Amino acid sequence: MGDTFRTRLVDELAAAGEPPIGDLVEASIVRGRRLVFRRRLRAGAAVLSVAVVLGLAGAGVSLVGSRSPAGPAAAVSTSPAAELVKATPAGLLELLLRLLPPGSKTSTFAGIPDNGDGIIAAQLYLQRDTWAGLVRLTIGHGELFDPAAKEPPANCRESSPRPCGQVGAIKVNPPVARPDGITYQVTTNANGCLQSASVAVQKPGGIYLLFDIDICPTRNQAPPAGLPLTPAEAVTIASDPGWGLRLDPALVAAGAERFPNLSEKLGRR
Amino acid sequence: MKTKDDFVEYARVAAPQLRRTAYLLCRDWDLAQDFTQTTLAKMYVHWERIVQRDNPHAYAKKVLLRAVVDHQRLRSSSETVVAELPETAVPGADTDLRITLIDALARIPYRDRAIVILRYWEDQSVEATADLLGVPAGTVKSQAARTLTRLRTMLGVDALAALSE
Repeated sequence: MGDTFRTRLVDELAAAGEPPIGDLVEASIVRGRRLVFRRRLRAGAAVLSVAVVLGLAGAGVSLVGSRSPAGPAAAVSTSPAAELVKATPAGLLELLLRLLPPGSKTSTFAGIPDNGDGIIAAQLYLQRDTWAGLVRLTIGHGELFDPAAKEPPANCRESSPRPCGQVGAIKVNPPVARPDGITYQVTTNANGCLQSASVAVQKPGGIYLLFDIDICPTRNQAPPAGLPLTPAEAVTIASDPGWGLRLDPALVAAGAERFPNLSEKLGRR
Repeated sequence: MKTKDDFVEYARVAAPQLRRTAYLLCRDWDLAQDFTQTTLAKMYVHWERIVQRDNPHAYAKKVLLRAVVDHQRLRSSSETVVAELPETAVPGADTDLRITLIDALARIPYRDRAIVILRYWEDQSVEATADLLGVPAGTVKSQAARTLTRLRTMLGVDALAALSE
């Protein structure tokens, strides 16, 4: 039975024509490296949690969600007097909407709350002129880059979480350290539309933001010529001092009002 | 075989087959690509352990099928479920209108499709199929037989011989 069933399916698949497999393997390797990297982050967070319980972390506890003293002056999101509250995906989206470049059109909102691993994700579909795509933001607490990778900023080593270099069409750029304490790293995929660009931003105080930008066209459409959000714009957005695992309560409330039934299903639909 | 170079070699060979299986289950090449990438990425993380303790391809199939099944469960929780999908008669004489086995599979409920794909495309045992789908082994046996009968009906008289047990 299995042979005839399989043979027939093989024939039909061959006749129908499969889409090219493209850079699937290379993209898997990059994704695998990212998984390794996130596992390390979680392990680091667990160590910090134990330290907090034991009273060993000291002032480090207050770093979560703290404001960077060197942050940009033109922050749009903070009300310094307010006591911060636990961040929600809707709150993250609310802040993201306020920080997106003018003229942005957004839809397809979704988010994943913190499920105990200290990581929150939010997603929206962004359209600017003829450029469109999904922007997925993941925020957490930890150190993305080892200290040696920050100074000098272009120090790329195989031992770092995201080794620099080129794997097929995927280019992992060296991390860039800014004077204000922010370090970021841009990964681009020249062939793939899923994760066409990925921007990892490490902020002072341990908060990191990961932007994944997906420009896969909808069926029967040509891929867009450019990214709806450039890596530079993502870094500017990440520079806002409002980001954290704890947010301004006004943002969380506004997000809850704007997205009362936020989907937890990320991805294209 | 335990280095990352070996992983790349394995992935290049395995990716097309894994993607085909994912496609047959979800009927969406984009999703199939994503499921395959997820599977290979997870294998990349544990590659050295996998090649030491497991059969890599058996491990890959298990991860892939689990990803598809989990995705389908999540998706089905927000979908309206109908008791029975309508079956359309297929004129056997007109080859242009005759549906393919892939089309026929797409017209049957997800769980039934998954059972026959796992059993007859992936050669999974009754027990392994039951475990992956979270249903009793008896259900796998009975649903596999019913689904094959249904597929024969949908495919028309010519397919009876090809799909005969």
